[in-house]
Formats: sequence, structure tokens, C-alpha cells
Amino acid sequence: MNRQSTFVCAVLLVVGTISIGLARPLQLVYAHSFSGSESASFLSLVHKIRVESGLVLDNVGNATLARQHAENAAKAIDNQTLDEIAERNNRIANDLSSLLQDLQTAAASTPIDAASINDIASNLDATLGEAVSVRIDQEQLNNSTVQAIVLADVIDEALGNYGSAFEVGFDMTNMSLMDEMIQHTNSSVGDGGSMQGSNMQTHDNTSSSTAVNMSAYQSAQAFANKSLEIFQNDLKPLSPTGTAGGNNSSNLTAAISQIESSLVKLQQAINNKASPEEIIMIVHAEIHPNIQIVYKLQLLS
Amino acid sequence: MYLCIVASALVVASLSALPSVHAHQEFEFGQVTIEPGWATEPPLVEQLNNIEVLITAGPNNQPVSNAFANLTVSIQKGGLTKELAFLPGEETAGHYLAEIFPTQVGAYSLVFNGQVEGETIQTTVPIEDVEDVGRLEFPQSSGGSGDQQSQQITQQLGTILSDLSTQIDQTRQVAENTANNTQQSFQASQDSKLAADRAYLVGMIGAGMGAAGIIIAVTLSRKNSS
Repeated sequence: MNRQSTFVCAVLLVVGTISIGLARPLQLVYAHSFSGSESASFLSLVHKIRVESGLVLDNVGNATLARQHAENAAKAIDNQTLDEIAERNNRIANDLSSLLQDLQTAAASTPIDAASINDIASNLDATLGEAVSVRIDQEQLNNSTVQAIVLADVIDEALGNYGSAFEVGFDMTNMSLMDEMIQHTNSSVGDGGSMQGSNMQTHDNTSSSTAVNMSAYQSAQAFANKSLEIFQNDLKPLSPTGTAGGNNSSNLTAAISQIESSLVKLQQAINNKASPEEIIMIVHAEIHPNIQIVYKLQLLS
Repeated sequence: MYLCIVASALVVASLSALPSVHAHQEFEFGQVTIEPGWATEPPLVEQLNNIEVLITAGPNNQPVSNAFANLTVSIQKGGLTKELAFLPGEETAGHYLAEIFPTQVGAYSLVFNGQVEGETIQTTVPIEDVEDVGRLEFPQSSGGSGDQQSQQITQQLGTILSDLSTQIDQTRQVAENTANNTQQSFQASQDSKLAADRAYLVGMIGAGMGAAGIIIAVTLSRKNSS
């Protein structure tokens, strides 16, 4: 009797363990918005200004684009953020404000003085570095979760700008649209129908699309490039190496490698003007889930 | 002998403990100039202070913003070092401050390591010695000038003894390492001697057995012939 009950218990335990193991993969959650922190938001803002000021420099031969990027850089920071910087260091807040103003003025001048723009962009980069040093603790800078949120934010910037560039008519950062897209793909295969009533328009999977808003397209490209740079320089070195959250070492290594290759894929897709659906799938189905696995980000929506 | 060494070390340490004055000095590394020092001088023991560094570059000595992006600076006292967290100053660009609370009187130095504006900076520079608060105390915290002097001497001796004990510890460590090495060498030589003895013994046994064999052979051959 004793042996029988032990055997039954053992069988139940094994069955229970297997059931839990089978059930967990079914709880697939695709990421879109991660719970953020003030540090991550500030770092994302710094990247945004750096990207846009770099694009001003890249467009010294095109006054319209240069002006648009200078305006984007200036709009990235608001008075509240400047006040927060001023609480730590008034000079840096003032320098930042005046450099962004100088950048707009220099971009609006005709002809654009490339040397002047270069000086301003260089000073702006250094001042942003100082702003980070006074605003963010070293501990936060070396926190993989903070850097992972920054990466997710910058990827969102790439998506948002890509959407504006091609006037896709829907929010590419909205995760829920991916489910619609999957359903649409399935129904299209079955009856060749299109998404009637949906605000999402279908696009060809060719590179023949023409950007309606070139400034936004350039920003999308630059943010995609910046995403890879952030991953390789800031996040990958902080990645966990051992077992984390039930993931073994080889799973983590595979996920980290997958993030990097997907970011390269995102870069190429944006450069090739791939369809918004393709871009969304790369971000929401490849990059975000792996970021969740490796860096344990919490979902907001 | 040991006493002589300790006495010599004490004399050397006493001489090195004499206060030396280092006002802010400029150090040039190609186009880059750094000017380090204490923010409040004279620096006093157990008084919150800042290490300040002014960094400029180029022919017009333009202040360098974000100079600590690729540069680290540590403060050194005897054999102890601590990395400093520099933040940009409020007044001007190129001026950086790191809070520090010196707990001992004596000589301090700064160790620079990194790059600024593409120039490599790897150097150790002395800064002004930290002094006792006694010279500025008013009213005196305890007793008269005699007490104060003896307190200063006690503190300085404490510093000297602290440095000395560190040096003695280091010397002891070296001596222990040497003793270990000697022990290992001795052990190796003992092993070699043992192996040689064994070889000698085996050789002798072999020679004996050989000789015995010859004797037996000769005896047998004589018996056969007779």
C-alpha cells in the first residue's frame, strides 16, 4: 500500500510538472510599452536630441530638412525637463537651452554654415553628456533594465517616424494591431479578402514605396541605427550571463543574439522601405519578446 | 638588524611626512591642460572639501565640456586609492568637482587615467597636503597651545605609524613569499637528493648482484673443470 501510494504521488508530481511546463509557453505576451523610469525617459530624450542634431549636420545641403530636424531636436525637451536639470546644475540647463536655440537659428540661416552647425552639434553632444552625468546616477546607467527601456523607447521612435514617413494611418507602436495583422494574413490566405473597416492599410512588400515625409523617414533610419548602437554599446555588455528568470544560459545567449540580428534586420527593412507590417512584425514579434526574456521588462499594454 | 631597519624607515617616513605645499599647478598633455587641486585651501582634516579640476584645450584654452566621458581620476593616500565621482561645475564649463572628506593629515595625490579630446592622460599629480584643524581653531577646542602641539604631533605620528605599518605589512608579505620560495627550493633539493640516494642504492645492489653472479659462475666453472 505504501509503495503504491508513493508511486501514485510520483506519477502525479511528474504529470503536474509536465503540465506546468506545457502551459507556460501558451502564455505568450507580445510587448509594446514597457514600464519606464525617469532615468530611462531622460536617456531616451538625450538620444533623441543627439539623433536629430546629427541629422541637421547630415542635411546642411538641404535647408528644409535641416530646419525640420533642428526643430525636432528643440521640441524633444520641454521646460519641465530643463527645470529638472537646472535643479542639479543651472549652467547645464541654460547651455542646453541656448544650444538648441542656436541650432535652430543656424539651420534657418541661408546659406547654412556647416562649420557652425558642426560646432553647435559637438557642443550639444558634450552638454548632453554633462546633463546625463548630473541627472542620472552611475548605478542607473549601468542598470540593464533601464538601458533596455531606453532601447525600447528608441525603437518606438523609429516606428513612429516610419509611420509618419509613409502616412500609414495607424500607430505602428500599437501592439494590438499585430493581432489584427495576423488575422488579416490568415484570412487573406483563405479568401483573398482585404481588411474592410480597419484603419490599417495594406502595403506592398516591395521597396517601391515613396516616403511622403522625408524628414520623418530620415529620423526613422537614424533611430534604427541608434537602436543597434545602444544595444551593442550600452545594453549587451550589461546582459545577464547565467540563469535568469528560469531561462538557462543558452536560452539567454540565443535571445541576446536574436535581438541583435533583429535590430540589423530592422535597419535593413527601414533602409529598403519595407512594408509597415513587416517592420511591425520585426519589432513586436522578434525584438520585444526577446527583450522581455533577457531583461525582464514588465508590460504596460 | 630589524631595529635598524625600523629606525631607518621611521626617519624616512618622518621626512616624507613633513608638510609640502602644492598650489594649483597646470599640467599639459598636448593640447589639453589640466589644473587640479582642492576647492577649499588649506584642506583640513575631517572637513568636507572638493577636489576640483579645470580642463581646457586648444590654443585659446577653451573649456572642455564632458571631459570625464573617458577619464577617471582617483585620489591616493599612501597605498590607498579611491575613484572620485566628478560632476560638472555650476559656474563655468570645463570646471569639475568631486566631494571628498579627508580623514587623515598628510600628502595626497591624484591619479589620472584616460583620454580627453583625443589626448592620453596617464599621470599622478600631488595636491596640497591636508592639515590639522588646530591652526584655525578658535576658541581652542581643548587645552593650550602645548596640548594642541602634542595633539598635532600625536596625529602626525599616528599617520606615520599607519603608513609604516602598511609598509611593514608589505615587507612581511614579501619576506613570507621569499620564505615560501626558499622552502619550495629546499624541498626540491631534498627530493633530488632522495632520488640520487635511491639511484645509488639500486646501483650498488646491481653491482653486488653482478659481482655475486661472476663469483658463482667462476665457482661453477671450476667445479665443472675439476
